[in-house]
Amino acid sequence: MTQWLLTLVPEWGALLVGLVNFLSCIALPVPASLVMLAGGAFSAAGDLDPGQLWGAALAGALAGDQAGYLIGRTLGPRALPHLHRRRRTAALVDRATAWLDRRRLPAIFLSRWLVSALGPYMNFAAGAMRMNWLGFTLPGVAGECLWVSLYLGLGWAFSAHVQALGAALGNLALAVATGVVAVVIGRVLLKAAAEHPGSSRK
Amino acid sequence: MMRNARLGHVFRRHPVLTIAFVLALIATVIFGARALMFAITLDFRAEQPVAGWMTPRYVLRTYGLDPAELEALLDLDSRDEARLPLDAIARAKGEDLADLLARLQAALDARDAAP
Repeated sequence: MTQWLLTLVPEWGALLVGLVNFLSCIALPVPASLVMLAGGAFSAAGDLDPGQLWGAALAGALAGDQAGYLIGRTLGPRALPHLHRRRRTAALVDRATAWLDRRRLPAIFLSRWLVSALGPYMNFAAGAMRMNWLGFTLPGVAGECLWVSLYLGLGWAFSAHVQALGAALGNLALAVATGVVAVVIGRVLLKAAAEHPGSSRK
Repeated sequence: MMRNARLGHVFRRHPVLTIAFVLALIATVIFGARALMFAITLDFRAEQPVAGWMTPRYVLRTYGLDPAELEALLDLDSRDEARLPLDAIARAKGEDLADLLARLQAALDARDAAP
């Protein structure tokens, strides 16, 4: 699968990089980071135009973010009442929504590149809670610029080690994402423990 | 004891969240260790062998082969062909990819063996 995908990169170039970025932003399991690294490596070798590649990668990612936001906005009103049926789940959803709205800027900006594995779900959530569009889009554009530059740049700089670098970064991205999830859930549980101290003895 | 009782209480009140928390922690450790392993071995890793997804220019950049030698080895017809991966070049020439790769690898090994 990896080899086959890498073979497509020099032939389809910017188009493929843009498409893969788009698909990964709506949570489809495509190895966007490996394709971006390969794109950077092939442009370093002189096979692909770096400017075109950067533009297409950014356009794909931004279009994917907007599509994810729209999907959340469309399906959200149907999903949220379902989540609100259980009192405890409803309280958690309300708390998460309030938190996301308060921390909109870092949450959207960082989930584009540093915690990129959570990016697509952040798009759905932002749309579902009807986050202010400009408030979603501006930090999104800034974060995607960084993500695209970072991955194409790393592919360019370490072009001889694209596959190994892809494996290292893929695992690192998952470690960061699951780490953030653990911290967020951990905080919710700590708060729950503090709110009901010792009530197990009733 | 107090702490255990409180942990038990949290688990009973939020069983799904507690399990998700533990799974997320385990996943963080596993993925973190794998990332570290790949990052550490990146430097010691033996040079990757020539593969079908590589283009002639990528081979030149990565292995530092002489351009004239590579051109002779691949028998390229046009500059456009130089943009294609070796896999597509082999197909266009009706040659077996494994043969083409073996020829390239032999040239690289011969160059490395030369004093």
